[in-house]
Amino acid sequence: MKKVFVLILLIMLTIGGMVSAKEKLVISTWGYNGDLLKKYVYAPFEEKYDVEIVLETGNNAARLNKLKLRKGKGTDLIYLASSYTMDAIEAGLIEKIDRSNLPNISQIYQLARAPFGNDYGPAYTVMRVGIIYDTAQISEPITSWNDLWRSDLTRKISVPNITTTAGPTIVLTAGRHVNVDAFQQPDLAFKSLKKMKTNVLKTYNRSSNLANMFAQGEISVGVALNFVMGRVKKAVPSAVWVDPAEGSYASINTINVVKGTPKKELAEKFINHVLSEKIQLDIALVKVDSPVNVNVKLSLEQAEGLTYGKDLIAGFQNVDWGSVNSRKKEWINNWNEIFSN
Amino acid sequence: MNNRLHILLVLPGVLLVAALLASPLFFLFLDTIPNLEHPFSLYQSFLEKGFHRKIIIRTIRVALITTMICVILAYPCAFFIARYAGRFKAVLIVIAVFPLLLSPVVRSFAWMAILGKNGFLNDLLQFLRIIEEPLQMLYTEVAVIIGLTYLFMPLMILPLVGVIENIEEDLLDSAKSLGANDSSVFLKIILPLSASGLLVGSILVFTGSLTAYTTPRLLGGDQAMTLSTLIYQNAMTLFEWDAASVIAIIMIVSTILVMKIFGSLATRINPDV
Repeated sequence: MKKVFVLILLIMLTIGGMVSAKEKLVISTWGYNGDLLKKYVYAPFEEKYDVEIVLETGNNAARLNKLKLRKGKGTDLIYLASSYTMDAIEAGLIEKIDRSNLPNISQIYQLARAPFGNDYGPAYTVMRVGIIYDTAQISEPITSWNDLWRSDLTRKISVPNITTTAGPTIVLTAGRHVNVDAFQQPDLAFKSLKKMKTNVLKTYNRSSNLANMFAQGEISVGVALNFVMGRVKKAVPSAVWVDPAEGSYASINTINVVKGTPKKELAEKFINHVLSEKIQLDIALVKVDSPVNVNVKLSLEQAEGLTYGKDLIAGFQNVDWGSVNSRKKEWINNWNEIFSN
Repeated sequence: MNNRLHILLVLPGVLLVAALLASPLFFLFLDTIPNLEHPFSLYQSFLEKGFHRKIIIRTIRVALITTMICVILAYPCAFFIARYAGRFKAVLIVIAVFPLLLSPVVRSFAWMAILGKNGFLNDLLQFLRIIEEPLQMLYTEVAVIIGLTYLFMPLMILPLVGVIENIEEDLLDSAKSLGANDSSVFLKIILPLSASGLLVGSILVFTGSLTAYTTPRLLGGDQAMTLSTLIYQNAMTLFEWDAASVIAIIMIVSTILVMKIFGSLATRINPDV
């Protein structure tokens, strides 16, 4: 009897082992909207390719740091914001992709196809950096980046910290305000930023901080990525979004294959899956990510809060993230000297 | 048992502590020494920057002010709990410890709701017609000190309760019977005998305030940047672990120096401490 019991146990363990022996694809990504992404992105892929997706979640910096410390081991794919993508490439953590395995790339906007060159992964979503302001508090409309220097906005503004995704665009804006290229003449750009400081109550590190500051009445103007607008609008119904006359800054998120992964082909299939018209539409309809696939058609109502439309995207100012990254340390020091002094 | 056996028995524990406590600190320090020719060049370049020095001074100032406020507010609370609370002592201790049971984020958001422009305090002051326009309280150093005081007050109250309740009633009665008034009894008997509790509480509050991250980040403005937020920036954004290690060592050295100062102050109050 004992022998039969042991045999049954062994068979069960073997079957259990076989069930869990499904191929795993480890993806490093952000933690938010996990349920929606599971339903509309991960589950269809798991079903189609009979694999199991395992997520490693955290913010850009924490995940990239982990990847650096592990020298890329244990992760197959990584979602990152633009500046961190550049950092990962420079650290030698990103595998070159084979574009012939990604036919859906031909369906996406030009700016998303090869933001860091043909060797690296595409952008799967596009956002924009613009201005949010409370019309109940600010009587004179805000229409331009230059309005951030207006004297009636003293201590009423919050801008993203230099260390966040949108932060470096503030330095570029400060340069533009005095008609200089911040990369060429950083001293003048930071001098201009110093003048803006009198209007800045606080810089923020998380979008929830910005929404809170609006809700508490601490600020009336904020520079932010467009996905923050929904949260702010919920707290302050009189808040409006402005795409400044000079153009909003484009901000993209990328997916890349991690160097050394033994599942490169599967990882490329996943990227192709994310770029497909169906997945891009599904995820846009639940307002998780703005689509980059040109075949995705949204009504005005469906597009609200998203970055959508060829004309809008054509008017974006692109950021040279390579140049931003090479000056990151110097810019952060200059920024700290202005805002933390 | 002979000495050798004593050593053998203690050795595993010592080795474990050395491995888990001392070695990380040693390697942290090692990271800050780029070469033997200029071993302190990283420290030099860090301290050369004026705004780094400002951040060090600000961090120590905030921690010291928080410690002083905690001493002033916690002493009467601890005295009352230890001497007069009677059967409510346990309940009062639980209430005193309550801030430590909340997450730092929840605590900070509660203070944001109190100190904000649309917050409770500004509403109250405007309702009482003390102010006309809301005051800017949030995102200032004052907000950070308020948040830290609330957070670390229990760490001052608990050791003080412990030492104050051990002061024998007879001692106080004897002093009074010999003609000492209440202030003399406090200054010459209660204060010296509670110096050890003050020392432990002050060290805990100071160290906690010096290393706090969430409270300064959420309640403080850009000009309330502290060493812990600077460590985070260097480690997690610039990926400069050497610079982060330098700041960590500076924090450790500052803590040791201030602990020494607290220790000598406590010895002045009571040489037996």
